[in-house]
Amino acid sequence: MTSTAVSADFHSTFQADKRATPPSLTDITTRLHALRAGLNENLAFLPAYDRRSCELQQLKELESKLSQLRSKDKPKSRFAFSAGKSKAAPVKAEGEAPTPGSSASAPSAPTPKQSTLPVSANAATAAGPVHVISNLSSQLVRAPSDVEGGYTITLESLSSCIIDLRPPPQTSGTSGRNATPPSTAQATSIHAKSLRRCVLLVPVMEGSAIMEGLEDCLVILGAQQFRIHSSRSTTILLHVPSTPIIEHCSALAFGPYPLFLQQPEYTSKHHDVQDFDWVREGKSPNWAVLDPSNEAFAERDAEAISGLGDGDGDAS
Amino acid sequence: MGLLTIIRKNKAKSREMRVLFLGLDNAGKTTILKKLRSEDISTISPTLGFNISTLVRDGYTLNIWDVGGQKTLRPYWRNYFESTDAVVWVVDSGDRLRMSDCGSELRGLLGEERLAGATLLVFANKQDLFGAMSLEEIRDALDLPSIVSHRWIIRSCSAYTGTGLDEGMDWLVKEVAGRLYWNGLSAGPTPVQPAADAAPARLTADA
Ligand SMILES: Nc1nc2c(ncn2[C@@H]2O[C@H](COP(=O)(O)OP(=O)(O)OP(=O)(O)O)[C@@H](O)[C@H]2O)c(=O)[nH]1
Ligand SMILES: [Mg+2]
Repeated sequence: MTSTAVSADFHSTFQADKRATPPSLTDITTRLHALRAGLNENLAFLPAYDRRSCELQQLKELESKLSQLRSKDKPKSRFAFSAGKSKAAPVKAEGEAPTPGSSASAPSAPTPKQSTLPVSANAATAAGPVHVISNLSSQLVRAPSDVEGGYTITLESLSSCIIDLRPPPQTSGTSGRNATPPSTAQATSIHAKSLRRCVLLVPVMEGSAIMEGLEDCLVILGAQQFRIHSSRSTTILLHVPSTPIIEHCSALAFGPYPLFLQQPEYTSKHHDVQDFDWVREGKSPNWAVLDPSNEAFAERDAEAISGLGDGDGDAS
Repeated sequence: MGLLTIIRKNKAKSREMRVLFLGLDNAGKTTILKKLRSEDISTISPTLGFNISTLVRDGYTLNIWDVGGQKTLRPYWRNYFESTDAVVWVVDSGDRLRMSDCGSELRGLLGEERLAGATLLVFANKQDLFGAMSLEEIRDALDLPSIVSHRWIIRSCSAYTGTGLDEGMDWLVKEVAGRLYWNGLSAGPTPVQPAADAAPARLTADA
């Protein structure tokens, strides 16, 4: 089978490149892009296991190198950032009398367009830092570090990215000036749209996740609620205490959240999916359950993602 | 005495109000209602049809219809419009991606003849989230200031912390009561405290 040859070939290139990766931020980033591009080109030919193994486990190693370097170099933020007033704003109300003409002075400040502006800030009207990650391909995206408490994040138009929203690794005392007090920041709400061939890894959240327009993605996520719309060919490893919703979807696979990553206290209903396009009797053809006792899933995938177990990304 | 007057008098006497909770899916409608009733909010599932609940506030019984906001369900909203006194439009303040959908769905509602008399309360929910859109941003994104067909107000709230929920509902009850008692029937009970930072243009019931 030709795909075997292609994948073997790619595999050795990938391995060689990985070994050759020199320890400098620019080089690693460039290399990573090249690896990612190679991976993308070969994606169609690679068996699912290899794909995940490359994407998750091995790129993860590079990722941790990258983050180590980043703790020395100044990180280059990909987040739109604007420091406005704190989110702990008091309750506010605003209203107007219905009579035409009484519409006071309607402040016509233009709504800041949601965009991913690299590093620099504008849009001084926004309340607190805004985390919209959009229009990226072949990138590693980490949880933002300029957040506090439960934060919300928006992902839009990403392709071939790995988005890891686990809390950033705690810098250990040895790194001196970089030592930061443990962050209390926690991803609490996620909105995602138009993700292609992405891996999204999210810790178990208190709030909800809603996504739309996903294709060929792997989503590993815990949330109070999960909704997915207009998506296909996506695997979702989910921990959720309520019924997941799908609408206008096909070829979705739902499996359990890898419990070695995190062990929530409640039992999951990831297998109790409600399909809004399937009101008839019997099970919807648009989704399936990945049975962890199914050998095709269990060992390979568990192995492929087991490298993610030590969340601090410290390989030693 | 006109028929309308009779209807209004009867309604006022029964001290009931019919309130519709609407908004996109994931906005937090069901969570807000459970929180107002001090019920557990940790296991709520998305609403597949609708829920009915009642709340007693200020001596009024609110019959509340909480209808699911999933796209497939939105065409069914109209089934609940009849004799609605107030619409509570709930917004997920973290949902930047669908704020324009949210606005156009709201516009659609306001154009509905059967909702013509209804008071509108917009809840900018999930304000506990760091990075959520502010009340002002949401007001402008939904173009609320251009609404002249309905009495409206927008309020920040969080169903998680409970902040802002009571204030919003109190305003709503006072406002609707003022309207139902429009013909000089007995005034509503205790007046609500205006929010400290309420905008100057804030509505109050006709004296
Ligand atoms: N962070 C945060 N999350 C909230 C808040 N209110 C609701 N949520 C979460 O948002 C998700 C949606 O809440 P629901 O109450 O089910 O939303 P809904 O508007 O009833 O949705 P539909 O029934 O589908 O129309 C749930 O996971 C809630 O836990 C809030 O104030 N803050
Ligand atoms: Mg609901």
